[in-house]
Amino acid sequence: MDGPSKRRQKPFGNTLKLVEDTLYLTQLVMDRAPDSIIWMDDQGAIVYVNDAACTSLGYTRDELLSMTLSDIDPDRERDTFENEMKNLRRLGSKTFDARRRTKDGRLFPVEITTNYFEYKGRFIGISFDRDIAARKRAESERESALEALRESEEKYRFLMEQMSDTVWTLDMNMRPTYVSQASTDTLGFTPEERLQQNLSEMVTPETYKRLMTVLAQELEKEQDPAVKPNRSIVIEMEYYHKKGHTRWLENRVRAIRDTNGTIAGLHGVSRDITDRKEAERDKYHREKLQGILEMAGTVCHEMNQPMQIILGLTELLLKKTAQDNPDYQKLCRVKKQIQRMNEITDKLMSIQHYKTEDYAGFTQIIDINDLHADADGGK
Amino acid sequence: MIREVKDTEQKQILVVDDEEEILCLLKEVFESADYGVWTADNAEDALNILKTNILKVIFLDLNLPGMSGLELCKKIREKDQIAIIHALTGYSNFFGLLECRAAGFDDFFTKPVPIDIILKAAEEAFEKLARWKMD
Repeated sequence: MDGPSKRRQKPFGNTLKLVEDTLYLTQLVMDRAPDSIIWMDDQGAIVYVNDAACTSLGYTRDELLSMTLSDIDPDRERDTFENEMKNLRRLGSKTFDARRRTKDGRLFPVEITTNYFEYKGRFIGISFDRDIAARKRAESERESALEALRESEEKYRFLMEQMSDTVWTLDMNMRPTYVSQASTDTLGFTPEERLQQNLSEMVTPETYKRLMTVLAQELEKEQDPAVKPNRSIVIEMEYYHKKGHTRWLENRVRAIRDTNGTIAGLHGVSRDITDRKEAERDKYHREKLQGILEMAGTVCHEMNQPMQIILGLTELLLKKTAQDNPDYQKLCRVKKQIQRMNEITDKLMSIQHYKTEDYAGFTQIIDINDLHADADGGK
Repeated sequence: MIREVKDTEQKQILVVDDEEEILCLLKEVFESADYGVWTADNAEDALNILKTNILKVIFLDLNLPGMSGLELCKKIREKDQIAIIHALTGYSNFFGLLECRAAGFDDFFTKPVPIDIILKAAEEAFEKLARWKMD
């Protein structure tokens, strides 16, 4: 038996045998090629098909050799074939996507490379069909995935633009690295303007000081392994609005960590709670006023009872005392003082708003001469 | 039914207050003007007095132990729509006045009230009652 090297040096016997073998091998290569190969004449009649063409189209070789190209190509009409052949002659070769129809009517996509040659004055068109169903499927899946991603991005962007809360990131120098659009509605500054600022410029000094204290405490906690690295803190901060006034924002803040787990920045979501804060403050003052009214009621009740007795008895004594009696004037003075006290309780009973005043430099008392102040009353 | 009060008959007043000193004072004030005075330091005693006596001029403290002056007024009004009932209170405000009017009080005084005003209120009440009887 010949070894492989010997066969490579002299594979064929003589010249005729060599041609026969070459033809046989060429035929074999074409027959067994993985892509479909179809030959046709200038009328579109199929004159050769390989095994792959038979398999992919579901016909026997004999069946295909009795058919024309339009039988297996749903997009090709018999009367246009001649023009296409003319084009092919002009172009020489052409590659395009088309569809093939199988014996059972199924359609599948193919990439076709056509070529032609003329043999003994006869035109032969050659079609190399590559089934691209899998590629098309992959392309379709990729397109679907891209479409889903685009939709997801659009949704995300829409949400980011529509949400009233502001999303932001800060580096460890307290400089913003991202600010969402909602910042403009809440505080008047556009995201671009925000990126030029430092946090210390955005908030009141009291807020900044408090924030630094909280952050220092949180950084200290980093040493404790029991503390969760993805924890968040909620902190209420007073921000400057572009127009100069301030607004209160509640911030939920979390650390951004690098691959080593070291804090590289902060990210958070800010919600405008100014209205809530004002409502809380109003509620506090309403409750305080309610307490003052109740206390005033108690004082009035407790004071007016004995005052009634003193006033009544004084007036009874006055009725029985002659005006020239030295005690008469004294009784008048007692009555005057009771009336003075009554004026105080009258004022207390008419409280609607209140204002405090400094008392002796060490405390605050209610200014009973300004019980109807409403602009700053009780604030 | 309204009991006719003859000119010669002493006019009677009911005073209800939980503070003894106030009761003593008002009793002395009204008696000084020749009124007969009934006193009670709680609502239940006041209702008992009214069961056996026809008293048409009444002064009630609002802040009574147990049944309040407002409730007492409502109870009296259930049986007597003619009596003239005055509220005497240590503390009140506009809403207190509204409550009193809704409960059936005819008038409303915040302590301390000068005795002349109290006497005038009593006098006017008896004048009204006299006028109503004429009609």
